[in-house]
Amino acid sequence: MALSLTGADRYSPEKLPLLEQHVDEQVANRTWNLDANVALLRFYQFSPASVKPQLIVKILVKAIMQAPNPDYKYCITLLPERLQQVDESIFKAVQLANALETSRFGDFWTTANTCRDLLGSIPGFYESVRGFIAHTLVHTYGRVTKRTLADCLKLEGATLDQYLSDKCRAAGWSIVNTPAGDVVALPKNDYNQSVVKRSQELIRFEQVAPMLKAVTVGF
Amino acid sequence: MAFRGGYDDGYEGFVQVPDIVKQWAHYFYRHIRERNIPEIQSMYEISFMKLSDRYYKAAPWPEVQHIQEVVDQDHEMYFRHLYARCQPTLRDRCDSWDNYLDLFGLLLTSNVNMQLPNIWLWDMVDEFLYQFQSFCQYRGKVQSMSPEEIENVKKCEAKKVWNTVEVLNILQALVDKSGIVAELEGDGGVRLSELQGYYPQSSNVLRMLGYFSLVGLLRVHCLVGDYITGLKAIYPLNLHERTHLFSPSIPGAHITLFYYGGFAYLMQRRYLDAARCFNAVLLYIYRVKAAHRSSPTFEQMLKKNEQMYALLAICLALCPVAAKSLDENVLMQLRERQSDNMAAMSRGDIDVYDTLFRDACPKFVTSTPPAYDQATTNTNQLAFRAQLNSFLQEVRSGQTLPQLKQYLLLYEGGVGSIALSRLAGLMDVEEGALRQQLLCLKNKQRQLKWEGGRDMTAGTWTVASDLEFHIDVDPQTGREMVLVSDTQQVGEGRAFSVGEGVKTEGG
Repeated sequence: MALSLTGADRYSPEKLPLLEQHVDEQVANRTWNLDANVALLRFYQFSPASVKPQLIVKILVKAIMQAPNPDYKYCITLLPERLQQVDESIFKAVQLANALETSRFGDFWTTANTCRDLLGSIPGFYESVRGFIAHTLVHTYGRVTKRTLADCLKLEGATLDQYLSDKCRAAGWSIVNTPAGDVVALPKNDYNQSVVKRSQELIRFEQVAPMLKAVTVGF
Repeated sequence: MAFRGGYDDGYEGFVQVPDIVKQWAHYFYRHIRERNIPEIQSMYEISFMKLSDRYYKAAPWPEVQHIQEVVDQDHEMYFRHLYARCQPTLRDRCDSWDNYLDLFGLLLTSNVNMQLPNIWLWDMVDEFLYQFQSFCQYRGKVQSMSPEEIENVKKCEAKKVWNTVEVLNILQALVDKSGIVAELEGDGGVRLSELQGYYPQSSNVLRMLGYFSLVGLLRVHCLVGDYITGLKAIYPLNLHERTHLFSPSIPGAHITLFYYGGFAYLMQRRYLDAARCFNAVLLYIYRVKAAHRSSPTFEQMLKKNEQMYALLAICLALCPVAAKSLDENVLMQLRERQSDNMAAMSRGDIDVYDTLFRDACPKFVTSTPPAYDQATTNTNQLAFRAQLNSFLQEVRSGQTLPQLKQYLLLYEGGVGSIALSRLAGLMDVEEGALRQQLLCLKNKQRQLKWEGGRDMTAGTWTVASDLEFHIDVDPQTGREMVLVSDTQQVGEGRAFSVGEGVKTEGG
């Protein structure tokens, strides 16, 4: 589709139908076009009469699926607060995003359970959010109990085992037998093991110097 | 054109224009014809202000038809003076809008060969947006309008007077027509900064209006809460690469660019990048301040200075390691102004975040027109509240983390570790809640940081923390252990006591 977001008519309302249609295309094709969606939300803000809440919800849910990229944050500040309050689905999407953002995975799944129809209509939703939850775990845990995994990912029994065996095959996870039972070893990275003073690499001495001085003076 | 042209009868006859004002207009026009930049700039910056003070302190300048030598720009200065010194009426606002349309329309369609002082071109864009904000504020106060006034405002809406999309379109048109993007992409702004925008044998007007409109686009997008588009709109300007940046030669433009740029980063939770932007511009203000003491924009400069120290304090409270990138001087100034607030914020005091944000955030515009027929409240606050709440939501979501960090710091040194269940007991929280907080802390410690390239919105994930930890399962006992790595500890106060009986477990 020829959807140009640059040029002289980039803010032109004639683009509205194209942008709206594009949301459904992204849902169907499992793609994501941040600029187009932000442009649509911008139109809606300027022209409240044309707002279609069901499309806003789709954008928000798709944005949540981009985590850890902050696309949801880019979108939500464009949305008038009133919409978040009056539209049930939008309100739900906001709750989902907030729960995910703060790792309240239990709350996330509870809320997700109340809007299964909506989330089921967005192909790839569960896969994406589980991907993000796993990403968070991999950055925090060296080894993790199956119980914690099951709770965070909301997977049980055979489904969990299937998920784990996929991860073991494709993502470097492994199951370790220990005296205390099976635990899952997650692939090592800079964040889930003890590292020695990485902060030194991040900064040059001349950047630290003023801080060191400040510390001696007392902050 | 309901509000234009219909000037009150009998009004013209009473206008007495002092000779000196006529003379001023005469010379001003002549210098413009002769492209005498220093003289135009002096007349524009100094004598216009002096005449204004002497003759038009609380009244508008005479309308242009009363001054013999009519140049388009006089209109612009007329309205600017009117907004600064008097309370504009709706008709003034509409006239000024029409005037901007005429002026920008003329510049966009004709072959401009004037050289005008860059500062004037910046002021034009700046004032255009100030009046846009002013109109949105005015429009929101429906409850204080008479029914007749409401009808007139509605007519203005229908004609898209000071309409947000129109404003964006104008700025974009100036950017596109000026070719500034291609030029900056081409040589990274080298020629522009070397020649200060004044190229031989070519007018600076469109080029510089295009340049300043980039800054304008950033501002308008921020004012409606569209931070990512704002930062994309200034491409290829990049606040991290300042070697060939032209904006420092126009303080107003430079400060606006960095204020909104830093703010956009802050709202995206990119505190390291935000702090770098604020650091650069605060240092800049510190250096140039003295030279602008007598400038009419001096107060504005000081105000933005204070606002940005407040925003910087927020950045550091939410991300203490951002202090590492700050200049010593900025850090000192920050401590003088904000140390109490920063201490309160690092304890998780939401009220302080709230207050600082209120004082330092931009004047957001509610770009949706109010429902005139049923409006009983002032809708101006809607946009502001939405942004404030979005910010406070972010702050609240990390409110318990400073306390958690303080506990973890107790186990730092060598490799300290503690069983998650024991830590939960010490903190008096459920294990599940502690696990959630630890995961949340991990997440919040990671942020995008710009590391090169022209696109300011690009970035790589970076750990922005002075505290590193992870969780592991002890294979012997099956217990979850929190392990705190020994990292260099810089800057943050550690005076925090959890009482007796806390010992480092295991190793």
